[in-house]
Amino acid sequence: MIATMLGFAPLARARGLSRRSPMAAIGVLILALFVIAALFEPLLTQYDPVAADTTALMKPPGGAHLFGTDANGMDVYARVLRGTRYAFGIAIPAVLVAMLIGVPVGLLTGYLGGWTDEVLMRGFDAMRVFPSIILALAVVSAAGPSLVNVVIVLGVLDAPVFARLVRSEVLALRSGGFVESAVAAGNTLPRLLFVHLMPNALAGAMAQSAVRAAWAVRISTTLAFLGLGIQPPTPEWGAMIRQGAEYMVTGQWWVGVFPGIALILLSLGLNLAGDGLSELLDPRQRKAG
Amino acid sequence: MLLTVEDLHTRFITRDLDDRVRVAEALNGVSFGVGEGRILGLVGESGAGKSLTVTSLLGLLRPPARVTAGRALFEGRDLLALSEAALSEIRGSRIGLIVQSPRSALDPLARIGAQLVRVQRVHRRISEADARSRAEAMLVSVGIPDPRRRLEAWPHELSGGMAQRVVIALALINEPHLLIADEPTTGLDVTVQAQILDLLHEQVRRRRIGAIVITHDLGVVAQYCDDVAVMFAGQVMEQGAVAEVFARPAHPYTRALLASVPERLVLGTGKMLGGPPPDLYALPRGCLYGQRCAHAAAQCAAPPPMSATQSGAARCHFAGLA
Repeated sequence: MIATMLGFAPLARARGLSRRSPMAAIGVLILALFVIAALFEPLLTQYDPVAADTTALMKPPGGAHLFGTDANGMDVYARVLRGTRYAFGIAIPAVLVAMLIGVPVGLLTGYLGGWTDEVLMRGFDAMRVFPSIILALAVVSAAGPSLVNVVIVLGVLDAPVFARLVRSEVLALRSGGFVESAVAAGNTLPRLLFVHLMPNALAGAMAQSAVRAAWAVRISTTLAFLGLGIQPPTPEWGAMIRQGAEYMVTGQWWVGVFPGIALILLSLGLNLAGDGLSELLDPRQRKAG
Repeated sequence: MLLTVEDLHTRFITRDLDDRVRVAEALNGVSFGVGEGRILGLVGESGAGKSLTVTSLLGLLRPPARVTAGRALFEGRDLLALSEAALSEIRGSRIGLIVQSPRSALDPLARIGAQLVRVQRVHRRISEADARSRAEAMLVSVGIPDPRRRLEAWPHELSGGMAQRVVIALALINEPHLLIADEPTTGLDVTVQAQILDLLHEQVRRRRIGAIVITHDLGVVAQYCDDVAVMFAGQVMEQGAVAEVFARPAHPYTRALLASVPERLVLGTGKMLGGPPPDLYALPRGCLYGQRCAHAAAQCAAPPPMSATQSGAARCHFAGLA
């Protein structure tokens, strides 16, 4: 109550969320920690994530280096923190690209049906016949392993997921109800699709967006792990795990395990938050006041 | 006449699993007129084609349904021949539609005020503030108390009767010349039904516009309508002024309807009316009501013309005599 009066609405809302859906609150908390890590990385460590230090090669965790150092003497803790930027920097634009393509296609195919639906959705089906990781591998190795290429490839590959989600919502909405009323009120097709149908068909896609971001993080790190994405010594988690894998057998586990844990945690956070999102985005479930 | 519908035919054309074309003859020459300042009641049992007539007129049909013949003159233009864009301009501004089940007719993710503003801005340039004050005035005129607060309400916060008032406000806010209400009181309790019908009646009278009210309920027609068109199997069987037709029904189906109770129609039992409606995939050649008609004779193997009666017109060979 006081928090609301003082203008701390987010705090009050966070309390509400943790009461209604504790798992979602945990997810949001994990995400918040990663966002802080991405934004304030230079304040959280004294080390430069790409500065080699030949006097401190392969130091185990503890002491001056919280997570130890790698074979170049770079601080693993600083590198894990910096890696957060790459994870978000790929996942968020990739999901945006996927939604930008998938949502309009879903609206159009769902509403119009017929040939538009057949052609566009069968095209998307054809894309999904191939395991996405194989397709991503092929396209990235052909187009070159740049950050922009990875983002575009992941975005295009994930567009069918959003198209399907939105299309199925539109199918349920289009016959009768307010959609028919909107047509009867004289709305043109673009207005109908984007003003009336989109907000109502988007809840599922929005909730799924966090989960798809987790997918994008996993695929992009996989690409890097296979040597096709971002190249070492750039502190990207997949590249770091690849470096660390070489030292696992000799007992220097920390080089690969810490970025691995970060990857799992971020995936978990995104998935938990995604479940919470679907509830929050539905005003029918929002409480008054 | 504000709206004149002539010989409207609508078909559902599909293919079955063996790729044979199947045609359901849903509307078979619907004709009626709506005068300015008059309320036409469109009655008939479930499946007679009442709602389909309206969706055909407004171009709201979805495949496989399509209009195959007919004319519908509204303000000098044939609705059935207009382009989608031209029809969109008429829908919502010159013709307002009130659909069944008001709850689902409102966009669940938009506040009442936003919906009332939107529907104005689809058809005219108007500032947000002007649109809002018009919306508030409109809510007052459909009898919604505390309109300023209601503008901020979400659809799920409204009762059924309140939601129907909002739907009526949405249909009227662009000052249409014709109002079409498709079973406006379905799902409302009886006292609210009466209020809603009173409101519709008053609004139509005050604005001097034409209206079509689709209903199962002959009581509603008797009390609120000026004219009546009785539909059966996609045809208007009899039409005329309500008082005249109800006093001297010329068509056997109208007589059977009047002798029946409305509850039976809704339930679809209709025992007093003698059996199911004809199969739309295989309509009889002659009178469509022939199979159920107690007076069917040899002439009825030929399609009856619409002939003038004392009370209006009826589609029956014996209309003049009966």
